[in-house]
Order: sequence, then structure tokens, then C-alpha cells
Amino acid sequence: MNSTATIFARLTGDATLVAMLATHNAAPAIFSDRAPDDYIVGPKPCLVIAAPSDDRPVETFTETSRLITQDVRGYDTDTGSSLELDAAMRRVRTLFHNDPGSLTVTGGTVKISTVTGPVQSPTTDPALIGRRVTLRLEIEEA
Amino acid sequence: MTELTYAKTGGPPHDWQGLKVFDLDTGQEVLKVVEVNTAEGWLISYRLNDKGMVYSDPENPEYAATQRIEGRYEIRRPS
Repeated sequence: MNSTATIFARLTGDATLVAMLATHNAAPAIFSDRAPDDYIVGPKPCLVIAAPSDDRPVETFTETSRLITQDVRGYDTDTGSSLELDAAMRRVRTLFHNDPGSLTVTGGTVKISTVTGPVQSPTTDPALIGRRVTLRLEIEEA
Repeated sequence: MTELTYAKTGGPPHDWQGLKVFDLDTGQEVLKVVEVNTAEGWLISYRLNDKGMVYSDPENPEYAATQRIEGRYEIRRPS
């Protein structure tokens, strides 16, 4: 079960969020793991779906599920205002928090989806600002 | 087939997947069970938070939080 693909599909499928983001190669600037080397942040935010920070089995006699923790980080240029980035990250939160029915995953069903954040996410480049939300997904295997 | 008195996820028994555990006092199926001993009258199940999610044991973050509940139980194989 590919939680990154599930998250990517949800993010790219939301027109409201896509309108808030920059583009890269004619697609929304939503990347997995990290932005490509040729991508320059700005003038709108971009998103990075991090690799899961936790992925553990939850197995009972009648269910086989996985409990996955995965961050979505957002970045924008530091212009003195984080309004656009914060708005985009709050939209990400809305797309996932307590809305498991809107998520599709091959080989399973998302039973629970909760989000914490957005909170600050550190950046190595002082010209950028960062935020992150943490998704917790419980996915029952088919 | 002899009555099962003990089961655990991963086995024994070898056909543990699909077993159901019922509370004989309420008649209700007990969910999220990972181990049960009907002869000794206890089971172990995952604890759930207020969102209904399994969560990490604060004392052992590598593992999900579980609880031991004593009672009268019955293990049933899927029909």
C-alpha cells in the first residue's frame, strides 16, 4: 500500500489547493521526498511529501492494518509574510483531517486520517520559510 | 474439532487469521484482539485513543498500546 501515492492523489486532485501552488514542468509543484534540483522555490508555495516517519503493522485476528505517520512540508520564499504558505498548509490539513473516505489507496481502505499542524518546518536556506503537517493514517489491508 | 482455548496473532493456532472472540457476558464480539486465553479468562487487545486509533505505548514507543482485560470469552472460527 503506497501512502505517498494516496497523499499525492489527494493533493493534486484538489483544484483549490492547486491554485495556491507554484507549478513545475506544467504540473503543480508537489514533490515526493524532495524538490528536483532544477526547481527554484517561488513565487508561490510548493509542497514536499516526505517519506513515512513511521509505518508499523497493527494486526488482530480479524484485521490487518498499517499505522502510517507521514509529513507534508510546504516551502515559500521569505518575503516577510507567510500568508500564502499558511493558507496552503491549512488547505492540506482540511483535505486530510477526519476525511478518510476521500482517500483512495490501492490494496486497502483508509479507516482513520488525522492531521496535526501546520507548524514551522526548518529550512537550510535562510531565504525560505517552511511549514509541515503530520498525517496519521490507519489503512486496513484488503 | 476441539474447542480453542488459546490464540495469538501469528499463531498458535496456525489458522489464527479470521478467529473471532466473543464476550460471554455481553454476547458481543470483542474487537482489536491480539491474544486470548479462555481457560484463564483474559485477553489482550489494542487500546484506542479518543479518535478510535491505535496509538503507541508511551513507555514503549516501538509498540502499540495494549490492554489486558479479564472476563469470560469464547473463540470462534469463521463459519
